[in-house]
Amino acid sequence: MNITIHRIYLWAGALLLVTFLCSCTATASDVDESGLPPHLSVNLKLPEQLEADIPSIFSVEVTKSGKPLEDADQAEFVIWSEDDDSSTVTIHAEESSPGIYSVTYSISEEGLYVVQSRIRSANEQVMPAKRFALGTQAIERLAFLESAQHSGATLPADGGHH
Amino acid sequence: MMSALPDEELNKKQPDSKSRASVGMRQAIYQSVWRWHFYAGIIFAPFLIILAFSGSVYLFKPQIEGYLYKDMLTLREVGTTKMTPESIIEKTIKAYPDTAVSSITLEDNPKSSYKVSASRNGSSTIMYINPYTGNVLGMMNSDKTFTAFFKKMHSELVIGGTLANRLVELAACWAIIMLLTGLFLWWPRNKAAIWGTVLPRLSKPGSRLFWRDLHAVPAFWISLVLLNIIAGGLPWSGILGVQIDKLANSTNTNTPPFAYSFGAKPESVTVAKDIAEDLPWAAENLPVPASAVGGYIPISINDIVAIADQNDVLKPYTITMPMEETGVFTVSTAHDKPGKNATLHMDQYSGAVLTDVRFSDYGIMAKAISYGITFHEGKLFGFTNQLLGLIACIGLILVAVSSYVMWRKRKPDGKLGAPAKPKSSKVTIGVLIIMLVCGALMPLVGLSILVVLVLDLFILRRIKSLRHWFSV
Repeated sequence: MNITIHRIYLWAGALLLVTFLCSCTATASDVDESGLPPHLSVNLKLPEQLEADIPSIFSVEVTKSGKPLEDADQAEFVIWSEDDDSSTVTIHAEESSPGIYSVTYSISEEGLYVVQSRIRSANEQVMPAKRFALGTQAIERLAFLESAQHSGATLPADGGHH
Repeated sequence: MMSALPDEELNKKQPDSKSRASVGMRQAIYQSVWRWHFYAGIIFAPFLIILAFSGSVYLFKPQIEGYLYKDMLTLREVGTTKMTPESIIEKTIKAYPDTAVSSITLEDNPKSSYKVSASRNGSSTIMYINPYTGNVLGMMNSDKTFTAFFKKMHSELVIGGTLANRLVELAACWAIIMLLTGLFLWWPRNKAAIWGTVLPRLSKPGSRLFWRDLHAVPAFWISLVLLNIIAGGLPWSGILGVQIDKLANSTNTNTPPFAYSFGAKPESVTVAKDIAEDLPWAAENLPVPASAVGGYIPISINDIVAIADQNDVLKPYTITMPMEETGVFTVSTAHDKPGKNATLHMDQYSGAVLTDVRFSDYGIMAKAISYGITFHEGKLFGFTNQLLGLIACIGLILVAVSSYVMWRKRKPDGKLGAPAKPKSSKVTIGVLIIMLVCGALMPLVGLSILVVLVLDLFILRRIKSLRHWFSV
């Protein structure tokens, strides 16, 4: 009699322990092929050919888990010259097709520029940036910067001068 | 309730034959446990004294370093606005060329300097910077600070290396066994014995009873704290720590992946194309076009701060720079208490938050380990925690010293003076099995028991003088 009661207690105890442990496990959400939970991805597209004073399209495609991120709360492009921090322009971007936000903009002076897209949706945001060069001198500088950045040396982030 | 009856009164009870046998059994068990306790103590007490001493100093690192390096850690004057981390780093690199910054710690206390970890001419340095002016207040090699010496003593017995680290783990594990066997030996044999258990009998200074009580009574008082301190330190250990981690993983009670700023990190994968853009005209003799587009560039640290703020990461936190092209920015909190822990990894080109692990996401074992470590370090509940750690350390040294005196008083000439082996081999084997179970739980303990068994079997038993000395 006593032994049966003991056994019941033992099993109940073990069951309780397992339930307890299961309810206290680490929070793990679904992960993608890189082993990461859902996150934003971007594709920033700058015009391959750009001429002074001719409007060109700058766009960014934002996706989350492969689906376009539509109706972002905030979408803008920030463009500034590497030589002049005060040259910063901020342009509101339109959603030209689902998940693709773009602006049309023209540059009048030759030089090295940075263009950054800033997209925010709910609690998430992305702000990828690329450099682009207009004119021979600027292109040479760009080539130099690119090779320095990708030569394996760790460079401190130098994108933000604003 | 306990009442203080004299010992003699209790000894008056005449045991019948059945209980006499069980008394014999109990004595044999006592004898056997004492033997283990004795040998473990003789071998590991010196290490435990070193650990207690170094630990008691390192416990007070915040106070000691706060005093020693006051000019670097605290600002004399508080400015109005702090510079952005980006401009602080820029200014630092301008003032000290050949500096590669690997991380920056942003403080919430307005009087605290910012800490920048950097590599200068090949050696890692911590630079302390006034966040209002961007001036470097001082630099320190983090391995050479005053308390770093005690930390090394505590984890690697100063000599350093894996072997020393294993020795520390071995001593810590044996300390657990000594605490448990000690508690067994201490356990009041009758309900009335307050004296000699929770209060020491100090009426005859210098007697064996005096030293015995100075050993057992303080050991009892610090046992619970000490067990917690040791348990809190074990997850760091090289062998058992890995086992603990495995156990947490297999029970799914560890942290989610990428929970720390050290260890594995995700990669920057959120930019669609290769990071580097092809610039064919740069390499070959092609006509240079009118315009060109570069690849993605890492976002600024100021942007990282903005993202951290938006995700409710509370200062103080450390931003660690990406180490390679596919690396990530890591924001991790530097709070004393584990409850506010947060570690975020961000894509260095888009700023997308790849993983965001908070304390509440930890499994129960990971939570317990975090609390254990914080308690071990004396940071869980402020000064009281430090004081408790200090008492445990001083207590441990006292317990080791009193046990040494006790032993010298008992030790006969020409013999080690170990407790004699119990006559019942059943008991000897039974206790050995319990020890081997402990050894299975703590691999280094198991290994050391096996080594001793082999030594015992092949050397000690075969040499008469040794047998006599060890009372085998």
